[in-house]
Order: sequence, then structure tokens, then C-alpha cells
Amino acid sequence: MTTERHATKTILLVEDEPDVVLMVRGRLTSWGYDVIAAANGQEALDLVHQRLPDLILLDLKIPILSGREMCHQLKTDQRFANIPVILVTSGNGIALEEERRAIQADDCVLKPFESAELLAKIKKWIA
Amino acid sequence: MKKKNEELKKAGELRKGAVEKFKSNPALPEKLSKLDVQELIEELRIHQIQLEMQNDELRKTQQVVEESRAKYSDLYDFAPVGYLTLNQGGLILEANLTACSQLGVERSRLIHKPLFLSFITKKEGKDLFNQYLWKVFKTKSLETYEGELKGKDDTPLYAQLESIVVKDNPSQCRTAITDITGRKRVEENLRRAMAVKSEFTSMVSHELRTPMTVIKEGVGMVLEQAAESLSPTHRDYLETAQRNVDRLARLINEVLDYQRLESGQTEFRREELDLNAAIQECLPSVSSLVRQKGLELVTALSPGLPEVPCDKDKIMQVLVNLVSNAVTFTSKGKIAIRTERLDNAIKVSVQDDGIGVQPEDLPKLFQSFSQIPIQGARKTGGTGLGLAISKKIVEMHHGKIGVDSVYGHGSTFYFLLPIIERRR
Repeated sequence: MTTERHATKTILLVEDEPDVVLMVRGRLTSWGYDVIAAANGQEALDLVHQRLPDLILLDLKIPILSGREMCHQLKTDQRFANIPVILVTSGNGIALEEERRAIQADDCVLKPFESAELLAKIKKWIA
Repeated sequence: MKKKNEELKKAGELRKGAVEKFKSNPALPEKLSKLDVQELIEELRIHQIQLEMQNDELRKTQQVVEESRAKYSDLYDFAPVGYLTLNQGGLILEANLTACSQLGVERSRLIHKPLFLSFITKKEGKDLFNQYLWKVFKTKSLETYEGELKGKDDTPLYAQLESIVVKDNPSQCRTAITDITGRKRVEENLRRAMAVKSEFTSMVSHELRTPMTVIKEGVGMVLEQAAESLSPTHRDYLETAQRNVDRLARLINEVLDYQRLESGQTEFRREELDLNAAIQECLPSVSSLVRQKGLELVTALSPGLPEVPCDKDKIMQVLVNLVSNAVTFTSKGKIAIRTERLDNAIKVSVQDDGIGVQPEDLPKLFQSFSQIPIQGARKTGGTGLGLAISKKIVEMHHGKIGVDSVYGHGSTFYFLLPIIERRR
């Protein structure tokens, strides 16, 4: 049904909670995306260099290199600045939107999210 | 003994003055007969007695005055608040004993010597006090200052000063010092407790979001991807679980909203708003709420309302809360949204044909986490925060929220937003 042409698109999931990774990976795979996952900011940056993903789902509260720093590094690096970053994180709705703008992330989804909302936002950036 | 001597000295001086006065104008006839002298002596004797009596009276009056002065001096010195007389430069001219003990300095070392400023330790406190003193002498009305002073043994003393210019001497003011250290401590503890509560709430809500995501996604995927292999009962179980995760998510959002409102972290935007237009704009979502339950939505918006300054999103959040509340407690009939102009406010009301509110439940309605149990009805799945949040939002707009209800005959929830007349 949703498994169509975007089978080749790769999404980098940056999340340190293995249970969340399991579930979100399941969702993304069922929608036909390739999923690579990183549990911290440094690992995520390495994967960005190696695999050049089409989109990044980023939790802000991750160890070693925080989501904020990682996003900042990506957005200030010409090679990666145009990879869409969607924040998938906890926190307060209003504060999150301010945060998103501050670190130049492209979109945000508050946990727990509606899967339809997440899919719509992914499709908006990598149709 | 000393007093007696003083009196004698005073009497001697008076006599000297009287003799001089007499010599300058000795208005006596040249020749006096014996009879005249007799008469004059008698007259003089009477005068003397009269004077002695007057003297006694004066002494008594003086005693009363002195007793009274001693009484007021005690009242002044031992009053529960410190009293100072200051000049325009902040120099201490008079101080009662309470003030001396508050500041931990003997009276002799306090008066005419230090500036009151020397008891204010912080630079910004000094600046504020200078401004305050200037204001006291400028306005000539009672002015209040709160700040930290250097108290006894250099311990901080939180004081409230109240000063007013002396009526007969505009270059001096009387200042009362009240020790509010205890109150400050309580306030500080309260502030700290509120901060801890707010941090705790936000941390807990934050930490709950991750496990909720896992449950919601896990259940959701089973329901979507393995629907055929589920029995209707199992399907019902999972759907119920899913609904409850959503309820938990709503609760977290509302707890955070409420906590931010309570701690003043919520920012309010002010724009001149046409309430009717704003209500029209959010009617589609409101009417879908109403229709989902098979109810009818009626609107009666009074035309030509003046604009009121408010935060559109938040006021519409209140309206949606009131409507969804009405829907929850109404099983058949209609929900009516009305606007009308009162003398100095706009009233927005949501009327329902629901079960109404028992009089004893009315005061509880707008408290946080209060849910009124409904006889024979299912639990509503609400959070009990909707009305409390609405109340906070309306109050932030200097408005008022309320309800009129007759049990068994429906309720009308309303809020009033003040109309601010603009003078040109």
C-alpha cells in the first residue's frame, strides 16, 4: 500500500533507546525505507559521511555528541546541509518548535507521535 | 534635688525680669494714704495667693505632660517596628530602640552619624534606596521599600520600610522598619519548592514519552500489520490499549501546559482580535467534535463586537475545551455557542443540554484534577485539567470564567474578556 517507489531511500535513525529503535525501524521498514541507526551523535556523523542518508530522524537527547551539536555540525557543513533533519524527541511542544528553529532542523515530531503524522512529514521532505 | 535647684534658679531669673520691668514703668501714685496702703497690701496678698494657686496648677499640668511624654517615649522606643527620622540625605536624626536593636547599633552611635545607606550592603540596594528616598520627598505620600539591610552582628535583615514626610518639616521623613526576614524565608522556600516541582513535572513528563512511544508504536503495528490473525476480542484489547496510550499522551501535554501556565513560563501574544471571526475560523473542528456524538451545534454570534486584545490560539483553546467538556456531559440535544457584548466585556458562552452540575460540585469545577463523577455513565477519559487550564488562560487575559447550571437542565460555561477603551 505505501510500499512504492521510495524503496531506495535511506533514513538515518539517531536514537539511543533500543526499544524505540526497534519500533521506529519496524515502521520505516514497513513503509519501504532502508533504515540505518546510530545510538549517539558521533556514530551518527560517521554514518552520514559513509552512507549519505536521504533523511535523518533525530532524537535530541543522545549521548557523546548531543542532537543539538550534531544538527548544528550538519547544517553548517555544505556537503550535508541539505539533508532534511526531522527532530523526533520528547519535551514540550512550544519549546520544541523554538529549539527546532534555533538549530535549523527542518521539521519536528513530538513523542509519542501519530505514525500517519510521521509518514506525512517524511514524505514532505523526500517525496 | 537637682530638679529643686533648677526651679529655684528659674524663679530667681523670673524675679529679676519682673523687677526690671517694674522699674521701667513704675505706675504708682506719688502719695498714698494709710488706708490706700492697707487696701493695696490686701490686693497684693490676694494676687499672691492667686499666683500661688496658678503655680500649683501649672506644676500639676507639667507633671501630666511629663508622664504623658514618658508614656509616648516608651511607646516609641518599644514599638514592635523600628522608627527613624531621616533627612533628605538619608542621615539618621532620630531612632527608637527597636530600630537600634534591629540594626544592632547603640542609639548614641546611630544618631547624627551614619547615613542610613551604610546599612544597605548591596550596590543595587543603595541605588534603589536613593531613588526611594527621592520619591518619598517628592510625592509626600507614604512610600514603601523592600530590601536587605545589614542587621545585628552583620546578619542580613530583610526589611520593609514605610516612609512619609513630616507634616511640619518637609526636609525630614519618618520611616518605619518592619522585619520581614521570616516572610522572605517562607517565600524563598516556596519559590524553591515551586521550581523543584516544575522541574520534576517536566522531567517526569519527558521520561514518560519514550516508553509511551514504544507502546504506541508496538501496539499500532500489530493492529495494522497483523489484523487478520487477531480475534475480535484480541483486537478490542489492543485498541483499548492504544486509546489509553493516547489518553496518557494528552494528559502529559496538559500537565505540561498547566505547569507552564502556573509557573508563568507561557508566553502570551497580544493581538486585537475579532472574537466572532476567530470562532467562525475554528467552527469546523468544533462542529466535528459535536457531530461525532450526534449532537447539534448552534451559534448565535452578536454582530459588531469590538476587538479585544488577546492571544488567539490560547483563547480558542479555551473555547475548544469548553465545547469538548459540554460534549462529554451531553448525550442528546444541542450545544450553543454565543457571543454578546456586556458593559465593559465580551461574553462568550457555551450552553449544553447535558446533565448539569450539582450545586456542591460547582466550586470544584475549575480546580486541577477535579473530575465530577457522572452517575451511571462511563468515565470520560478526560484529564481533569481542561477547565483549570482554561481558567488560567482567561485570568491571564484579566478576564473571568464561570458557569451557570441547574442540575438536570444543562450548563452554560462562559468567559468574559474585558473591553479596553482606547482613548485618542
